[in-house]
Amino acid sequence: MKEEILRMEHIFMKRRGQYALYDFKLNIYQGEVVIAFGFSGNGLHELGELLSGSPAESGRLLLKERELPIRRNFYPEQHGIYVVHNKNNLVPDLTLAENLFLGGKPSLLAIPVARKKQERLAYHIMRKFGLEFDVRKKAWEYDVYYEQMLIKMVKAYVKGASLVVVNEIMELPENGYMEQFRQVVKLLRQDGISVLWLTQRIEGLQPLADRMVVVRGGRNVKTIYGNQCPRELLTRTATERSIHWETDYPPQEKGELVLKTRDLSGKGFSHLNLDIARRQIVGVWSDQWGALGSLHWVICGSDRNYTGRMELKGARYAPQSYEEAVRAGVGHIDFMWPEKHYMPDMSITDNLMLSNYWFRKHHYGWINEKQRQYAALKYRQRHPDWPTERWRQLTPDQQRLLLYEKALDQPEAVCLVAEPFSRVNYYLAEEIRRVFQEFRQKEKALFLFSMNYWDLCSVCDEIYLLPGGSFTQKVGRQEFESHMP
Amino acid sequence: MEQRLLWGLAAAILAVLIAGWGVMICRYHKLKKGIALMKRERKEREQEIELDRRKAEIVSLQSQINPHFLYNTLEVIRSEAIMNQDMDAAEMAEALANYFRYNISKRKDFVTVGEELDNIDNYISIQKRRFGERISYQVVFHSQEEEARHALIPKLILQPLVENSIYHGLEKKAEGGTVTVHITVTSQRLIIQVEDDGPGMDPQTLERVEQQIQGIRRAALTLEASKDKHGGIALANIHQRIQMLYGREYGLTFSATRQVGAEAEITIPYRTE
Repeated sequence: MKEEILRMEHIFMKRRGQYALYDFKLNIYQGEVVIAFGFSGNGLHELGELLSGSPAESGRLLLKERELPIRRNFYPEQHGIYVVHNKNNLVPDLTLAENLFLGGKPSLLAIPVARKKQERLAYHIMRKFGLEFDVRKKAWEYDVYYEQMLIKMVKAYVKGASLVVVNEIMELPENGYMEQFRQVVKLLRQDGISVLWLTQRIEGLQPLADRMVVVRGGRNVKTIYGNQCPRELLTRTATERSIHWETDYPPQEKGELVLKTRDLSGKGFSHLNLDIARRQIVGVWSDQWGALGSLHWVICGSDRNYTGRMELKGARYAPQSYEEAVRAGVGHIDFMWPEKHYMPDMSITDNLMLSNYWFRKHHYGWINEKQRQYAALKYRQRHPDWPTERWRQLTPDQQRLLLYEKALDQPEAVCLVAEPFSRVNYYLAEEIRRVFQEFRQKEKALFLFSMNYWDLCSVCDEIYLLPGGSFTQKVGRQEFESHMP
Repeated sequence: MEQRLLWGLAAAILAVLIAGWGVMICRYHKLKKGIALMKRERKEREQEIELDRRKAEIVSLQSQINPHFLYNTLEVIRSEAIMNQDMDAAEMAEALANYFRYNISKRKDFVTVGEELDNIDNYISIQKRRFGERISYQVVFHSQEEEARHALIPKLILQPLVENSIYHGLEKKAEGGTVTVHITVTSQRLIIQVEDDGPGMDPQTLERVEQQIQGIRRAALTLEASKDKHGGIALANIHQRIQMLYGREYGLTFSATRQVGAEAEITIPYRTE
């Protein structure tokens, strides 16, 4: 006989006036690992919020058969739910041992914590979970993403949680860490602690699962027992459409040189020698966003504090402003902040007609009606099932694809894209890769900026490495794996 | 002057008290009306359910005319088939007799999961003659099988779900498919999930079926609606029977995805014989 740790019945939850969870149901048994899989805009994030204590409109949430107050905020840790996500960081200046026991029950008469005893205990707990971490190191010395996440999962055990909710894991752990995650999850399960893992990317996580549930449109639409399910079926369930997967696009011949830099240095980066040709997808990787951001603004003309030389289509290129860069033929999409590229209350067609001068508060000019009709027609041809009125009606995935398609239709020779795969599920990643091939076909060059090396590897012909901001080398497709930073 | 002030104050207090009294009386009457309305609605609903039950009984009685004649005839067919060495026909006649015996003659309101699964086995063995290897059926127990088999459930709540999966799911799929029944027992509940890998449903049809389940479309319970092509009547019937027996916390949920399949989940309290 199983024990139900969590039971959610007929949950309705609204966000921004729309139902994010609609008649949602989910149950988790003791010591079970459940993976909730769904793409962005389908309610997975809200499910995480609900379990973090956010209120919902109606429904029942039972934890160990005790009903929790769903209509008002509640403190999940009081009820044995421990939520691990990349927002609740550890306290950076406390040691790992201190972080593990932080927030526990106070000792009798507030006697100071016995540091040695605490460290010894922390050491044994970390070893129990197979983690060779130094418990005396400060939290900031650990990798923010994977190592701190592992520590937080162990902390759930220390806090005596009955359910650990792992939320907002956008990037899959790399192989070494994945093993550690598996080990921690296995030991949590052995101790009777249930795990609910909310994810948009299920590859690599599947072996962990006892059960998988697919969330679509705010509902639990399918339960898969066990961890064997073809990716195609999962994607079709999550999107209600079938997807053609083409993992490897053939390399194409380079065209003429479009953008060239020599000894380019600016704030945070130095000595960059860059050559980007037409039909080429080039990436630049750095472990510091400051370096990437600065390079980005220099090429876009927004930052003039640089030294070195830039050439665009064979002529000297020294833009004094963003508008000048666009006029010269440099487009730009920033997915760290995509909202600045569109006006949500304007029509989709008008948004497609908007120029890239997003810095200007007032856009003056005449819109050619024929061009406008052409844009609308093209949009309907490409996406017959998508909304046709306001930009706001589009899902975040559709908005993102449209921004690419808009860049595709504009005359710029090179398009800079900041973090092209941030918050992207693998269905959308595949669509983006398809659009990138269209860029090639249209004789355009793409220049991608990312801190995620593997994302760049999946699409780029060449990657420029800027560890710590200084340019070290250019890596070709054949050498991607051997030059992993 | 002071006396006047005192009188004024007293009058004001009195006025406030009277106003408060008035508001209270109004609220009381409103509440009374609300309760009366609720009672009336409940009565109407009960009458409707009673009417539906009677209609269902009439239909049931029509099919119950002399069941012994039916069983005897089936037994004769079986014997004839055995004498003619046609074992397939004999098995089919036996399965059909067992199926009718369970559906018509068994007067119990509650049966065990084991009995209901045996009835589904009979039903599947009859359907297999029609569909051959195109359909396969399996039961997966996610907790101890014995505990699950002895759990009590209302009669005929599983077989219609399997029937729906075959008729509205697998029948339409040329290459056939599988109906799987997942059964889980917890300390409080019995959770049964019936899933198929048929063509699923488009969102409009799914919405209609959901509305029928939730009773938004009362037409679901009329005989007219039994002509519904998407099995909503069976689902609505099961959901309402469960809610009438166990309360609103229990019932049936349904979901479907195009080209993937459909799944229905029943949750009822765990009780044994």
